[in-house]
Amino acid sequence: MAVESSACILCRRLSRDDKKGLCLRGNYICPACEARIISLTRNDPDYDIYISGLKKIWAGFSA
Amino acid sequence: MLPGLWTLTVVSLVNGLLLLVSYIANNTFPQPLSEEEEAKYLRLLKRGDERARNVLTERNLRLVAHIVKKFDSTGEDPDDLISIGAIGLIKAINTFNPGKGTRLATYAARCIENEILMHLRFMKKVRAEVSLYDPIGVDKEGNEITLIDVLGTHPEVVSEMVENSFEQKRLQEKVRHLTRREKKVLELRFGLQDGDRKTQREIARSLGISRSYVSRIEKRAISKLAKEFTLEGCQ
Repeated sequence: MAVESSACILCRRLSRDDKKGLCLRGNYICPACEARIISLTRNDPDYDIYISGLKKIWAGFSA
Repeated sequence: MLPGLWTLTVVSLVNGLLLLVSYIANNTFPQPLSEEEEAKYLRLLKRGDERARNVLTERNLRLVAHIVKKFDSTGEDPDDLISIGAIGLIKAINTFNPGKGTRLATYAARCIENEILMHLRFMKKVRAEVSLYDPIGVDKEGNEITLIDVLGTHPEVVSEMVENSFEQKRLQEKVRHLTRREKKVLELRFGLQDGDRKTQREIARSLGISRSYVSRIEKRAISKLAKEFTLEGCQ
């Protein structure tokens, strides 16, 4: 699937190399956010931020 | 009031279900990979092909939706649960070891379910917590009353007591990492059991060792605990 934009849907940073990282339903997740997701535990204060960030993918918009 | 609440619950449940069904029925999530395809992409991933990781993640999103369906009755937002399941899936793909003989889907299903269960457990704990600063009503003049205002002790003392009891619990968990002798010395020295603090000389006498040895044990135990607390802070 093609990446619609190389701006990360979670941190909104533009990536110089969008070959790295994940692309879910056309939404790009940068390697830094992907690594953060892998290390997240439920007690982490950032957990909810990542839940709402990922929700944008299922809601079908990237704004 | 009650029938209204009942209707609202049923409507929100049906909405949640419809949302999930639409995810799957509209082919929002692509078809899962066949065993051969899965093996092929896992091989590519091993060679460092980033695209393979995308494929493995995307083609297992349907699995997330299926697992989320099992948690319909929890009342959680289905979109939240799909996000949490996706976190579990991303973790699964990064930690999967094909050498163990399990299929990725089997392993991922366990990780996704585990992630959701951890979230539900966390939410249960959060909902059970009551803040001392939660408003519990208003006084005659309309000022907000918080729980801490009606407790019979000075508010600062109450919050200090609550904080102390949390800290004590944390300390008790860490004390498990000490040897029996280190534990004993700290218990006597800081009155961890009965609040009665002893001098190093008194401890030396009761344990039949020298005062300087007690001092060394105490130092070692404190540095071990400091290390444990630092490690906890990094997690």
